[in-house]
Amino acid sequence: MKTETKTRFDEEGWTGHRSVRLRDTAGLARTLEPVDTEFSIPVPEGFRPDAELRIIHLEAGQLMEIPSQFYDLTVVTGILSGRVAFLMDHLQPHGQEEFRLYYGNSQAAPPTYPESLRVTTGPDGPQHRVIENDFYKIETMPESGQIWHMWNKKGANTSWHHNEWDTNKDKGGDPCHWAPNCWAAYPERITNGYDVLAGGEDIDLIDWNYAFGWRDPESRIISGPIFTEITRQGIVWPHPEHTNPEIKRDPSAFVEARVTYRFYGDLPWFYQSSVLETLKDMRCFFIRNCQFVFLANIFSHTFIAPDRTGLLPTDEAEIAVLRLMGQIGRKPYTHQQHSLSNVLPSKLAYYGFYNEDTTDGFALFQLTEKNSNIHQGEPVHSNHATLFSELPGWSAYYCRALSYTNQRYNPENATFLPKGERYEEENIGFLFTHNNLPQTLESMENADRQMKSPLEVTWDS
Amino acid sequence: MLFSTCENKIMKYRGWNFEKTLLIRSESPFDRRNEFIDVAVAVETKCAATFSRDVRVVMKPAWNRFGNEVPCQVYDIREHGSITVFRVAFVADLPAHSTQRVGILYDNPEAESPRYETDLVMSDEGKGTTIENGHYRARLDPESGNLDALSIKLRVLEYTHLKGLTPECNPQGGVRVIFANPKDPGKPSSASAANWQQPETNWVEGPLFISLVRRGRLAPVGQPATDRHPSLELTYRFVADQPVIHVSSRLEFHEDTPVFGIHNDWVTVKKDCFSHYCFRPDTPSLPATDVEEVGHILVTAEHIQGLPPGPIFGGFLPYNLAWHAFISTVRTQKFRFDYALTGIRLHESSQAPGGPALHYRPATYLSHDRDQLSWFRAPVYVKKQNRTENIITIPKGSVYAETYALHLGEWDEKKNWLHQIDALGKRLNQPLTITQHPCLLDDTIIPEEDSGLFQSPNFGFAYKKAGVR
Repeated sequence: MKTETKTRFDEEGWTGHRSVRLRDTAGLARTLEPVDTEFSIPVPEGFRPDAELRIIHLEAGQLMEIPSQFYDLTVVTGILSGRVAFLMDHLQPHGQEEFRLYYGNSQAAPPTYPESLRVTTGPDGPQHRVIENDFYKIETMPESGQIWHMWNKKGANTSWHHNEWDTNKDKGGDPCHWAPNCWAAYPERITNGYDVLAGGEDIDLIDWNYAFGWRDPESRIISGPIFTEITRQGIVWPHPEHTNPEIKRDPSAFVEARVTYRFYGDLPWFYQSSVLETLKDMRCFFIRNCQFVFLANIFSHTFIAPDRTGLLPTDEAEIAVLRLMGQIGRKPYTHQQHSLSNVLPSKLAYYGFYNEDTTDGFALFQLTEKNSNIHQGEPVHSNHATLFSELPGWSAYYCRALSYTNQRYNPENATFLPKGERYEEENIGFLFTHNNLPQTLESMENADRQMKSPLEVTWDS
Repeated sequence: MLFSTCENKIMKYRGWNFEKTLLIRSESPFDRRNEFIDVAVAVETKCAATFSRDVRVVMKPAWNRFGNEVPCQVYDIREHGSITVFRVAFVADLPAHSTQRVGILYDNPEAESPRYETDLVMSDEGKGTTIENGHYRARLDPESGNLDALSIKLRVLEYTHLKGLTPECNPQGGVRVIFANPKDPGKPSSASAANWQQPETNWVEGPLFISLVRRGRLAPVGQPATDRHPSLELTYRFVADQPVIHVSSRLEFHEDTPVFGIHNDWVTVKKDCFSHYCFRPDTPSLPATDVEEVGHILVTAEHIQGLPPGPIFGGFLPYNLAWHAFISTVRTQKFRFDYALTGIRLHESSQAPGGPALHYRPATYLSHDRDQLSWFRAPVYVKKQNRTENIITIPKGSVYAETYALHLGEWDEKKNWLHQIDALGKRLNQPLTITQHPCLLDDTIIPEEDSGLFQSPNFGFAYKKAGVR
């Protein structure tokens, strides 16, 4: 639901403009397509970027001002460079539209646009925020800033988080966004024997290097009328609540991560990316990204769409739709975590969940997966797949696993990772309302094609 | 099974003039009890006049000692001049890492045909041939010979409950080719052995197994079969006292053929008989010390209603899954049995002149339609079967061959079934080494031994991990 914000624009008093043409080359009808593009313009001394920049849409010969967000701006020798973001209302298949960037008006006041995204800071910690638009409400963890709770305001409007640990139940439970994470392997550490295998709480053979264990990491926030982007980065230390401080461990840093979220005011989806890098040689039992974890009874079904790689141009992939077993206690082996292990490729087109009764829906579109070693090129990671896990009363989730072992803790199954392993991902998290299956599948296909076929953006010279 | 208890075994075999000794080597680290062995034996033709009744198989504890006689079944006797080759099947117990010495006695003109007890029964009451043993009952379609109805025998104490698992009067698809018409791509037509009418058949019937080999052409429905159409050979083998049916297919293309699909191993079951589909992947990137995790999908009619007919899980499951199964975990007061129907992969080969045969989106597929569930494996699978550009042309001379074992067993939540199936898959894919002695003296060329009804198993690679869960 887009806030109506267009206003007539009078170009008098403006120094100049540059035109940008947006064109659909994929034959898709576009609605509310975010545009985010680089630009540069000549500016005089004393130029006020917050007041003297506008995006104008040419509509039937009329100049209409639309909300825009300019960021990452720098001025070098009279040239202002940066990025501008705005939303394009709609575009016909193979259509094109012209927009203009007007600049330079010493009399202009900073524009005020209605902001449909509300971001408020919470009381519980430096990274505690509530991000809300008409479609969703998302709350971040007070210390780490990871997505903690998610509500689909068009659906059941209940939080989807699960409780990994009983101890956190009364403290808001555990985060929906669970990655990137790493089980660093120390199979030689046997300080507490094998307590966890006998029902103990933690085990010394691993350290939980999870991004949601961050304590107020370095962060950068870009906010404006179009989106708010939060980037956090830093060393991922063993999770403070799940680490035995008495264990002898190497005090140096060996895993670093960066996580970015971008939330739009008028869109039901958000962008998420992460990078995880090994800073020194290490061993692991697994590394995971692309992992959103939900309470098992939130959703009734899941769907999985494969990547189109290898398909003939007009052939189609089969989208699998499966009834969730965890939600209704129908796992044949009640303690086996994964329902799909080592059969889904690491890169899918998208996957998602919906609930037939509450209409809650969530889909994750995988835009990018890139794995490398910054020193030697090829990454060393081994077993690499998307896993699907569900357990009654616990959680349901997909994750992209790297160097995953099914026989955790076994020393011989720890994977050696050299310094410089770098695992990158970009995803879109889409909260939707499920009415019926054909409609959901059609809207997912359309969204996937739209997200993966960006508009062609051409600036005039 | 009959086992001889004759005290003086040397005396018992007076009258037999010759013996071939088989050395059967098991490299398996586990005991192989009731191992079904099927081997080709070559002897001089002059000693083979009464093979139909004088061959005996005797376990030998030492080179010069006879042990128990075991039931055997002689078949496929072929004379090649001075040499005769025949196949003999029997069952033996093989301890781990052992060599078993077995005597094949022959040439006794006075011998009478042996009579062995067996639980394998074949009958025909007009609705098609029925074959059953202590574990299952299988009925074959009277027209095509395809497996039509399959029931598992579930036993508790003295009761045996017969549970039908597959739809009746709806022969199993087996192998299906979806032909494309380049001039009218919107009208594909399919053909499967289920459409055959009285194909060429070859039965082997005995106390140890019953086999049926059928050969024919796959022509689109409504078209007469010609030499230009692909030929298909389908084999079933029903084994005594074992909960297994071996199924084998060999599909050969005799001219360049435009298709939208080649689907093998179609198995269709009644939806209301099963609750889950499960499968065991093979993950080469897992270290050998790791374990594989079995995957599960809920398939109860109640829970998949509303899904569009067709593949409900397709394209993700590897073509070379080690095994997959429909399982029933619906334990109720009324019906306390849980059971499983499992397809264990034994052999796959596909060749074309000059290289490997064409594959397009090869995968294992799970499909449903109305009250039925199916699995199939497709070396070639096109979803959009109405576009010229999606037509796959299979080159002349391409061959797609597969063998699997259909296993019927009781399921349990404690993973006994799971480990049994994995162990069986490992065992069936670990062939024994069998040599026969003495060698023939002259330079007579013995025709290359074929492997009997089936190709040698080649899915041992899938069982190299430390285990399964």
